[in-house]
Amino acid sequence: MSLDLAQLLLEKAADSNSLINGTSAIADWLMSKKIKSSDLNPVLSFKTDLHWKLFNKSILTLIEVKASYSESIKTIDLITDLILMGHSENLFENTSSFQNWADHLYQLRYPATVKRDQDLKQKFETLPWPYGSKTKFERRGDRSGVELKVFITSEADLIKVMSSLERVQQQMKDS
Amino acid sequence: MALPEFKKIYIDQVSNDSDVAANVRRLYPKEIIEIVPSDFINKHRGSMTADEFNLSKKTLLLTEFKGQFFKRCPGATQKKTLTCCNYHVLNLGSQCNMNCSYCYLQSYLNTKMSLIYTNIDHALAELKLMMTEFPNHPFRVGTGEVIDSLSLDEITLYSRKLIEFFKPQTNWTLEFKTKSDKVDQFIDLKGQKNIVVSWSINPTYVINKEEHGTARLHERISAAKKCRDQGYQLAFHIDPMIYHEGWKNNYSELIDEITSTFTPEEVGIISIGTLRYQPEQRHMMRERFGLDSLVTQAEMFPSEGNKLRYDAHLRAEMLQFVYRRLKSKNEKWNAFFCMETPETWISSLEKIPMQIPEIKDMFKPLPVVRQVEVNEGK
Repeated sequence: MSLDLAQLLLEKAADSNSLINGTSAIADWLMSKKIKSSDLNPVLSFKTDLHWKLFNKSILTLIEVKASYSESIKTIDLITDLILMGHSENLFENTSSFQNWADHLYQLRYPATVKRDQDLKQKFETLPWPYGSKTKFERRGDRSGVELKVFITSEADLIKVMSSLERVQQQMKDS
Repeated sequence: MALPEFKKIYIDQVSNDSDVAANVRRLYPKEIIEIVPSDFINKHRGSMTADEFNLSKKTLLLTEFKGQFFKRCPGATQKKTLTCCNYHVLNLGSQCNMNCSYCYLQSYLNTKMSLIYTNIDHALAELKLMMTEFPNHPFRVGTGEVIDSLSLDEITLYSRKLIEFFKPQTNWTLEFKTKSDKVDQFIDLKGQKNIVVSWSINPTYVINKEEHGTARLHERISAAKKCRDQGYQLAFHIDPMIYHEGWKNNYSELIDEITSTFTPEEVGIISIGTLRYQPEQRHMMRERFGLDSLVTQAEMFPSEGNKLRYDAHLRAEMLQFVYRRLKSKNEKWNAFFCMETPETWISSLEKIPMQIPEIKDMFKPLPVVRQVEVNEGK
């Protein structure tokens, strides 16, 4: 790539009046996290000064919440989408920790999926899972569902679990 | 649709005497045509920026292809994760003069111009060898994998050669796959059942927003009617289905239009697929189309085979909706899911393809295509 995107980022930060104090922080961050030019490819989509201003503010937030290299790279991608979708100051809510901020950004970027997962989670919570089992609802890539943990000590335990699971299956079928 | 627009056309010196070069000279102004040495292409390889990708659609090189033309569909390379329908491809060029926001070529091509291979005789010789070896196997061969089958056909007229070539080989099926309406260049040739002309279709709303420079839905359907009337088998690919507000109404209207215009006997197959793309394609799409597109805005997640796809529940709902709508019109409509996982088949239809009588033959394994040596002297 002939264009040095890290340099471009610093120039845009310096151009922005609101970020005069932030430019050196961004320069330090680029160096300490060993950010490569290719990591900043998403910025090639930016068309306006506002896009850049929001992006630079996002980098300062990443610094503030002490995001790791891989967390930063993922967030850069997410935040680029959100900036281009027209989000602005609402991006910078829930920044008390990286995880809180990441959750907030995820909810902004994937609202329909968040809603669908919440509904599914609620539905799964009402199912008659085996007594003593542990369930954990989670998303794995394009699928969301329940991870089920059971502890079995005998054939009798197994029969009970299987019987419970049959009831779960029946309720799933009925709903 | 007008003649494809190119700002510059290069002709590799080895292709200078080809029929395609003669057609180019007849159709385009000489000021934009330049003869180049055969190593010219080597200077134009490599990954592309968004601007380079845009320019590659407006720059054409006529050259010869040195590799194997006839291959399995990329779906076959992911047999462990995807249910594959045994499609084979014959690549007679690369890049597309149309501009769909979701096009997978954005992460696939590494040549900074559109290519048309002028040595089609070599491709046909390869096919002849395979046909001689496997005359009774029902190979389905498509020419629209890395180039639209028909959008540049006024320049190549390859459709005419391919139709005549496949006519005697009735166990083998040829499929032209297009988003154009360019059929007039071969429509004087009588069709038959093993020559399929197919269209990728989407509701008008999606075409207007995402399929730039393509024929409008009514133009595709008019072209399909012409082919039907001339005896060609038709197929439609409702692929990629794109989620949007009102998707159910829009896809219902699309299916109603198809099922009220054609019969299941005229349309051999309808494939259905949902939006999917390689993760690395995201940057290019975002840069080229911004976030106004339904595709770049979509909520996509990593899936089996590493592609980004819609949430599996949503995907199953979309596929099931279209499949059921089709079947509700007439049980005889043959439909299958393209490049989908067995889990999606089961969650949508409670069956895998081998359990569906009308399509199971498509999914039976075929002999593996091997490298064939074509002796040009014979």
